[in-house]
Amino acid sequence: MAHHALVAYERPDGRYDIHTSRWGGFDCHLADAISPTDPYAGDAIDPAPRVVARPFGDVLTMVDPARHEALYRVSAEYVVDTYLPLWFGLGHYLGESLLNGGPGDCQPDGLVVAVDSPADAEAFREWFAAAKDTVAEAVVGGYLSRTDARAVLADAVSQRGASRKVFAPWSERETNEY
Amino acid sequence: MTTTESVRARTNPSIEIARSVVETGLDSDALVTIFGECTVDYEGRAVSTLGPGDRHVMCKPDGTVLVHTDEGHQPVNWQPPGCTHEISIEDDVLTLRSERSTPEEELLVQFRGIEHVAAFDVTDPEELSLTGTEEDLRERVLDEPELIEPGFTPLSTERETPAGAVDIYGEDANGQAVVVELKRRRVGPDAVGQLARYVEALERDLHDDADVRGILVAPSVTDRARTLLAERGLEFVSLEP
Repeated sequence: MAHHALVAYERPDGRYDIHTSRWGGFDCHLADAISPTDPYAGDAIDPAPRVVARPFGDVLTMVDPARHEALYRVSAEYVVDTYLPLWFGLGHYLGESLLNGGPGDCQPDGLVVAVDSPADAEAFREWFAAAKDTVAEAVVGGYLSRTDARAVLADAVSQRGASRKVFAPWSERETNEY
Repeated sequence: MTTTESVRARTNPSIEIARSVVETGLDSDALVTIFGECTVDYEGRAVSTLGPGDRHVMCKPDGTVLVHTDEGHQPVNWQPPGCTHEISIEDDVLTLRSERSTPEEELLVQFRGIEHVAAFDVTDPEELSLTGTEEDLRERVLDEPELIEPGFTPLSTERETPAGAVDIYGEDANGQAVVVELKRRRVGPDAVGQLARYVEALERDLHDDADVRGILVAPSVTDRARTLLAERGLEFVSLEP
């Protein structure tokens, strides 16, 4: 668990190599620690790539929103963009099995939203946790279906993130590659 | 002025004195702090403005700038190491300008009132303090497993499961399998979901009737998370990073 993050480095051909960080999702501080002279932010990022030469669309589908707390996109010029994975899963509120194939359905589900600073990331994360808690209470109480809950969350995120990049990498239920 | 060999400080200084203390401090690679009413403007990968308010600003010799209010542990504005600082007086306003070239960013802090200013010559021979660092929490638990509970024995770190690698896998005093998951901040229900997923995955991995305990380690949890932990038979240990 820790505070896992994925870090995607752009290659000269425009595709990305994907690395992992155990703690990089803690406060999204890696964006300012990654540089050409220190590409792995000390030992914060595993220097061995997990996957190489993938388009960014593939990178997004490799995010496990239940596990990864940040995604960093490092351009070839070492400009770092930070994204928050937002997990829409509700099985844990309902006492369900959370493994793939169980009724809690832990197929990845959610959105990935751009943030512009660690403070922005913290504020967005706290807001989403509160929003999800509220929606989950309505589902647990029987006032909202899961389908409606998902729509409410997606709508809330799109409104709050109106000026941000928001990705829906699992909207067609692509298979997570991890 | 309060002056010792390593500290130069003034309370309610004039703007000229404040500029002098800050400038001398920056030039001598001191750690400089300013407290007073200021506005903060940031321009770079985003644009932000903070209106007038009392803030504590710290400039570190490595180029870091931190702007703190009276709330939270995170600064409201900041610049990373490597920035250059410049102090000046513009229209009777003490102006601290912090610039970074890659990416191009500028933080502008303008003080209309200064209540305190100080420059500290900091000597810190430790290259790295392990207390509170990211790996430290895990190392502390491995070094002192009784922080989890008496009789806990760590067996491996990063044990792989179908739901991902768990932080620490071990056994309790009765030989029962234990999954320990570490978080460095206050957590909510989603952390419970993550832990539950690891416990389920490990139970499936071991054998059909395996009973795996799950312990969430974090500074604190929300009330809702505490309820969900109890409902799933999972446990919580409070530990500061």
